[in-house]
Amino acid sequence: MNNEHSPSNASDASDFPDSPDSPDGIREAFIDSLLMAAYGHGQAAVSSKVDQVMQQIEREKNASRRPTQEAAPANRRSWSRWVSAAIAASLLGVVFFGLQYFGPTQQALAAIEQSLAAAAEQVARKYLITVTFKDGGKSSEVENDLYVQGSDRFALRHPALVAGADLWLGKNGNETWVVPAIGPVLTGNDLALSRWLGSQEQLSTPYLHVTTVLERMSRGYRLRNLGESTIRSTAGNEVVCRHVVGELKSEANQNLPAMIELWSDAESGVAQRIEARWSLAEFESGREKVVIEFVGQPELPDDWFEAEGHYADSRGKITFDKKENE
Amino acid sequence: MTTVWRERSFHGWNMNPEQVFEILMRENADMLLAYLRAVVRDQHAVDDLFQESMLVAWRKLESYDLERPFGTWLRGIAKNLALAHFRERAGRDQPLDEAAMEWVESRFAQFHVLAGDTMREKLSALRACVQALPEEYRQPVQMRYADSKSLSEIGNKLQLATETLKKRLSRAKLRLAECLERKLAAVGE
Repeated sequence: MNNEHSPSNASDASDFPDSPDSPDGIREAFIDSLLMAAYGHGQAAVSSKVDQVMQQIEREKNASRRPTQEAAPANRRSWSRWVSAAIAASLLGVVFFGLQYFGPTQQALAAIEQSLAAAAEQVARKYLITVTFKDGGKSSEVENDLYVQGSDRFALRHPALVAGADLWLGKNGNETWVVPAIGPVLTGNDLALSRWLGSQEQLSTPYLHVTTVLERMSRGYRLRNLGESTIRSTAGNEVVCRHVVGELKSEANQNLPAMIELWSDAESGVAQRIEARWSLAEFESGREKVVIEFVGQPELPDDWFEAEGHYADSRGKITFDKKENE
Repeated sequence: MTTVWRERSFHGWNMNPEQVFEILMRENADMLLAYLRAVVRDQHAVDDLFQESMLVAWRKLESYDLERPFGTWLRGIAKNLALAHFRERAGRDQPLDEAAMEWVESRFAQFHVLAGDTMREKLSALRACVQALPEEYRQPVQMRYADSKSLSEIGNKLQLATETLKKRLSRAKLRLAECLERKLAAVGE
């Protein structure tokens, strides 16, 4: 969102009412604030401000701990401990009843937000994506490898129609790219990539990043928190996870999965398994299920999230738009 | 895949009070920002009050009445801080009186009746009102708020003088206020 032209930006000519205290002025300001919220003005700034406040709270906590532990006389220390214990008990009460009050939907949302935060960490992770297609009575599977690092770097390997020549697509943080089995490498921005993908039928997965499906799950889905469960990882280990289920609120958009399930590591929040299921009629054909499973944290070459990391021969580079216009 | 069910509990979530507070703040941050923008004109003051409200909420958490929605409690803190801001900056910021602030609070309090979990979802009612505006009003509103265009950019595009554009936006907002009131009244019935 472009904050430079945000309606309340002081550098811009203001369109606030001249008489803010008049009934119309108040109503205008009220609608103005809602319009900004409705169209997402300053979303990133809001998140950053909450981060800053949480850091401040952490600093205040640390500052209040130090004198109690290091310099306070014994009687004051004992008094402080009692007060701290009372505050802690009170906070735990607030938190416990708060969680009850805000209900399982908010707990489920919290699990998704924790997974999104884990996905934003600058750690390279590998996922296996298995896409199940239904064609009449038959089912077939396609496997993709997905590598992610933070929320804006990914590389997806898609099996090619021609043996031994996979399709790679990804993003290096700024630029998106596609390395097809043959031909020039395509580069551009997110919008160009999504337009290009819209014209492709060969790509099996609708999800190019773990964050895409998590963000989708947090919007437009009726969430249920199913508590903790243990799943077996692809490496065979048992992982205690939070289990959240999201059911699509409105079935108007048939392209969206009817149900998404998330199992995230109960400690780290890292998404361990995500299942997205579409609702297909008995004889309907199409994508039926996408399973995204955490494989591990591989050591990757420096250029892995660059197009150059995925082809050996010298190839030309063109922008998506140029390819589209050919 | 084996699934072992456990009883849901706070401890099972491995969260400390700060983490839960952070979740509550992130859920209510859009609402808090919108509320402050509605009552305070100075954008820099809005930013300061936004952060101050959250810090005060954390420090006063033990006084939070569990029978009340967290958002209402948070707006109460923000309102008191805004009133203190008006007192400190007398003459330098245009203050709203108590009655006006009560009116804004009553409108925000009505929002819980609208469908949706988040503020943005609840505001789909307002986006529907924008869609229903006549084109001469809808176009500048969308350019201003959805496309984040400046007044001069919109004026150039629509061939309107800035004052004319401001009046048109003003009239559009009053129409939107009426539309939203109708929707809130219909849901509340």
